[in-house]
Amino acid sequence: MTGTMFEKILDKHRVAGSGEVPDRLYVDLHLVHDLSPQAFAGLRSKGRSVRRTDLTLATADHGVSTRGLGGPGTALTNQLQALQGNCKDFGIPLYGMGSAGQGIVHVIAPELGLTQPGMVIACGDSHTPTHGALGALGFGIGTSDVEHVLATQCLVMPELKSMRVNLTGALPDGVTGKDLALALVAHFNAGDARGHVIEFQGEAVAQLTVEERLTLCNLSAEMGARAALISPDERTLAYLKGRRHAPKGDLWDQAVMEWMRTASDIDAVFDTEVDFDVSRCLPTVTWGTTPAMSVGVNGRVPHPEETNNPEAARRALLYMGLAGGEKISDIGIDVVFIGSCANGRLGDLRAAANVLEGRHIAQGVRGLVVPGSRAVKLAAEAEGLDRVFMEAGFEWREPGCSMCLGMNDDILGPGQRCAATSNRNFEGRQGPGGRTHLVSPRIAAATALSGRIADVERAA
Amino acid sequence: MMRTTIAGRMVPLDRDGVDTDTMMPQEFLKGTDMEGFGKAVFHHWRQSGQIPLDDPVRAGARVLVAGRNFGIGSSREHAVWGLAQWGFEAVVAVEFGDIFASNCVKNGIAPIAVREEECRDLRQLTESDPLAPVTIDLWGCRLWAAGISASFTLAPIIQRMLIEGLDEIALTETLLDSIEAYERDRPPWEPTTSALERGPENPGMKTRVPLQGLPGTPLPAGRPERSGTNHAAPTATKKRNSEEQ
Repeated sequence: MTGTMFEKILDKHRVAGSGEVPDRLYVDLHLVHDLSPQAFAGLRSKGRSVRRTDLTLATADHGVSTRGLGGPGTALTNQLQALQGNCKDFGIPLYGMGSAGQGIVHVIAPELGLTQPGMVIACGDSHTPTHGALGALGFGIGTSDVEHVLATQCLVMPELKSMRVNLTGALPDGVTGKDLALALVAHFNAGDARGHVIEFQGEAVAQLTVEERLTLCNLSAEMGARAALISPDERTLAYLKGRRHAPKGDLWDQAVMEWMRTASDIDAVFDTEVDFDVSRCLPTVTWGTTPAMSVGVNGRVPHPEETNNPEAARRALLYMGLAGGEKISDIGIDVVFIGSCANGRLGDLRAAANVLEGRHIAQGVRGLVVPGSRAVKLAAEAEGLDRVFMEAGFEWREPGCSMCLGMNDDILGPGQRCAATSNRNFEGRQGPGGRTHLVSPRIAAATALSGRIADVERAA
Repeated sequence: MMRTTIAGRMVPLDRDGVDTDTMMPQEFLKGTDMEGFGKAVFHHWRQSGQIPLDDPVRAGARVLVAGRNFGIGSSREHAVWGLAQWGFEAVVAVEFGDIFASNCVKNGIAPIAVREEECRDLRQLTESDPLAPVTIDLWGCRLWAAGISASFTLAPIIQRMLIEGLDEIALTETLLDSIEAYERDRPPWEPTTSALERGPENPGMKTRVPLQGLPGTPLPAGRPERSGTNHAAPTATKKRNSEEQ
């Protein structure tokens, strides 16, 4: 079989249609969280059950309190209660609040080894392309499709184009996978990759750690792509081997053979080709209200007329409380948030802690670290990262989505300004009136030290 | 019930890159039912007068006319429920976010993609004459409004969904034999989640995931193992145990 990895995965998951019913796509793993209770209501109203509870995993992430169980404001929300009840009623395995495996869906599935090359993964969350870092085709879906997958383990076969994004060159020192991702989001103007499944290829991909690849594929949602993929390589296999749900023994060998056959062939033809030189990437920060509105941290906020959409820039600057033209390093910050499915993994916490070690965040800055999962939290604590953060003045929280989207009590107040390692800076994303600047973990840490958006070298 | 035509007045939204967070802010996502989203849709922009959904002259409009790249970001279907419950049956824009467009179709809202100048002409028409109607022919894939005419494309299955209101899940259920045949041939190494419940680490979810659950996580280049912090592990472990008990 020759072709792109995307085509091969679709072909392998094709459930033949019949008559007027088009082909379906079989879903190997369905990740469920607390934000889709209406899907279960839909099942109940039609008397349907969950077809494959053994291919479904639920966890509590979007709305969980990160203050732990039992404290003030930590009562289970209606949605978390509903999740517990629905998982019990329908027989779905649940990593609930306080459980050992709980965490953000897109953090726990890779770390458990549930995300494997060649799989189709669906989740009612737009950041499901994250799993493409390990070669799994991850589709974010709405509540109707969550119900569809619960009931049938299938989705309608998507009609999408393939795009190769060839990443050439090497990232400069101090420039991370997050900065690369933000540069690509700007290249695609927060949506121009729509209708496509991106495959990232090239020498720069080979140099990225798996965690950085997870970040890159996570942000493909902000590029507008329907999904993203990276063909498996040695780093993929090294990451997977020994993980709890990874195949063992002979099955591992069989799986590896098949995974490598799933990779795109050298002569595969993509519908769209993009070349991108990563050596021009800079440590990056967003200044506006889409993740495409970004600039180097050592630069200036653009004037509207310097952008490709002055009207949109004017409105974004108004919302952000910026005039245009100010130095990025003059922008004061109220809150620093480190976490999310973009940057809530162990490597992200290490990168931030590395900058913070032995120092203290600026007066008046509130710092929040929310590990992406309980496993990340425990691993970080075993290394003493929790002490580094707390001694630096950060709050060390329980895992969840937290201030990425403000579904719990971790929200910005109106006008508050936050440097966040998450993936969206839309108006009100972190709380009504809140202002978000997206950055990498190391820039977030440097910014916390300085009290103003700062590159690592410039941190006070 | 067949519906081949959507006809009615418009609401203009001269914006590019409208995200679904803006359509349905997260503070309205906390319920467990499907009520009340029509009042919440575009809440903050309505409060600040950035979209005229509460202007009496717009009451009863059926078609939202936006700009480029409409419906980016979050997969939250609540945004579409909000549009539908407000009364919209179609959104006209230059392009749509993929998941948003898919969610629209599942809720009977037609995502109609036309050229940028056609979008602009429609917005200008309804801005100058809020009572001007637009007619969208889902069967012929054309729309008309006061001298403006545009064509668009709909994939055949999308067209059927919009016209016939098909139940996709019921259609998939007719393929049960194919699904079962597919399942018999799945590779033996593909993971299942049922082991989560049986696993010794996981009874009642009280105990921890073993740290060897995270093998091979590479240290950043040039960063040595923390020598001083190996001592910290037992302390951290003890602290966690006491918290859990």
